Amino acid sequence: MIQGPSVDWFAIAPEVALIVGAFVLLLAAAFARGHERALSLILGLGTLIVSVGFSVAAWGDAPVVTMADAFRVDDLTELVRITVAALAALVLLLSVGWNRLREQGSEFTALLLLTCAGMGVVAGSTSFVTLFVGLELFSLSLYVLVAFDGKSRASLEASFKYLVLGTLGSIVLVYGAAFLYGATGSFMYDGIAASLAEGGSGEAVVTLGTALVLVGLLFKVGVMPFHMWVPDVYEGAPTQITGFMAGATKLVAFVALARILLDALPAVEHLWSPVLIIVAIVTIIGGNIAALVQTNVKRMIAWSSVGAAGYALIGIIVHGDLGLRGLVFYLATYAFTAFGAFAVIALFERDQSRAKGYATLDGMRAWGFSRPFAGMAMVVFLLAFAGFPPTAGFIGKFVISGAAVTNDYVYLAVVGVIGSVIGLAYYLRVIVALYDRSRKSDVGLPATPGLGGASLAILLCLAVVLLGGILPSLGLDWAGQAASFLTVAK
Amino acid sequence: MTVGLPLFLAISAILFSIGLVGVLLRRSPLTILLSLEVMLNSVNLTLVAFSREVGGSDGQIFALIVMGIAAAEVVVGLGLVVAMTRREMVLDTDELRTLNG
Repeated sequence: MIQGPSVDWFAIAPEVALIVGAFVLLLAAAFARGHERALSLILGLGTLIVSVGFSVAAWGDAPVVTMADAFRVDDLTELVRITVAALAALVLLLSVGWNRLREQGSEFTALLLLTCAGMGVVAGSTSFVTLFVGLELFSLSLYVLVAFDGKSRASLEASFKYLVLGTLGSIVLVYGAAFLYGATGSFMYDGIAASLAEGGSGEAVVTLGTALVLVGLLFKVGVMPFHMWVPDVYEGAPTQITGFMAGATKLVAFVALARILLDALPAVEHLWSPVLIIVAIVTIIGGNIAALVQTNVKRMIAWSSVGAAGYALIGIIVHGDLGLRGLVFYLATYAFTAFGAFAVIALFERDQSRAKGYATLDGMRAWGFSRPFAGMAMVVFLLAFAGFPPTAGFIGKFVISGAAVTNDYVYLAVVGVIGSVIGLAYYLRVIVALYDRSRKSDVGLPATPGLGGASLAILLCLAVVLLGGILPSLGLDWAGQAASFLTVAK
Repeated sequence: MTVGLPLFLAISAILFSIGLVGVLLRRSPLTILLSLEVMLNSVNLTLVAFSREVGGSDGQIFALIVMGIAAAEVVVGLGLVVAMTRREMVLDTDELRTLNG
């Protein structure tokens, strides 16, 4: 009889709830044909609320390490779980009027719940094995979600590209983990760190392993030069999934990156730090310049999210208390900013009741007059991207830049400011297009299905972005509390 | 004659390179999926080889997990290829450029 590892069920309750909810939903849908939409919304939102409830209940507790030490539940894990579940709930709200939710809503929602579960596993993993399992659980679900816009070829094309490049990234990551295992004899982050600190393990194998792990993770994070899947996938995916990916995937991938670099590989910081500095500079400048020449707003924001990832990298390069607090705050609020912006685009696409690809600058001309609330919300989200006060984007960039300056990385802060200035140029193009008086017409828009749900989703994102900017101390406290667990292993 | 760790690593590196070249250069989606599998198996070989060297069974268990996940990966990949065929999309990745720029 093999002794299984001890499991703290309360610690992993959020993931268990999500997975159980996904399967209950699929079973229920088999018996209740024709009620796909109602079932998905009720069971999906219900499951997410239960999952968030477990996370909130455990917030502030001492960290729990369970599953043979391979999974750690601390406040950082909880913060990621809560943010991801909140974004998933917003996806459901935004999908209320979507015809695919009526047709195959249960499958869509079940995959969404499994994605959240996978992201929770990644956020808390302290071993490459758990990391890989969680990574694939959420990636595989996302590949299908990206392809969910059944009639659109772009959706399938995006999904296939994402599948190939995403799998390539995972394989490189595991290949690197295998070399680190060969050099240190462990898949656990703390085991690797302890072995590297002692020294003596083969220098070449460690370097190779670190390089491969870094490349694999940078693929997942979507920074240059491993960004090529980002614009295509973001453009082709159903817009609510694009928003979810821009927010949740980015947050989760960065948490995984930070945990590996700071918990497992602090001894080889001289290897990864210079690489990250170059990648961050190239990404901030390159991502923003590429966004400058886009005419499709969806693709433009996809490129701008590449630039935003470069900004977040600065937080990891600087690390220390302030850098990591800024990183967590920036990513958590960026998630809602990006989701809000894509939610407005989704509403626009639905207003046009045409196939996607029409969210061009020209197509959006004067649309801000017909939908005053969504238009003004878009302006706020774009200003938050650019880092204007009083939005959360300003606070996040301010804290990260401040951390860079106090830790002698002034040039990184300067690069960040240059990136923001380039960014402002194309964000203003969108704002100018939205409120182009010359094209203003008095013809009202037809009633759009699911307008209420979409407006509510946009309103909630707006609230987070503005509250994070006007009353930043609360959010910064939470982010600091979560980020404090990143350096605990040192 | 004993077969040593360097030989295993060399073979897995060759397999990995073959797979990578296949992913980057081949144009049929099916061949690309096949190449990804070759790469995953090269990783498995590395894991098992190191597991023998290090002792203990961690590496072998990870290799089993990788196999399981690789199977799931292929299911999704082939499902996508089937969906693409149904939409009468040309099965040539050079033609997949609706999304570009």
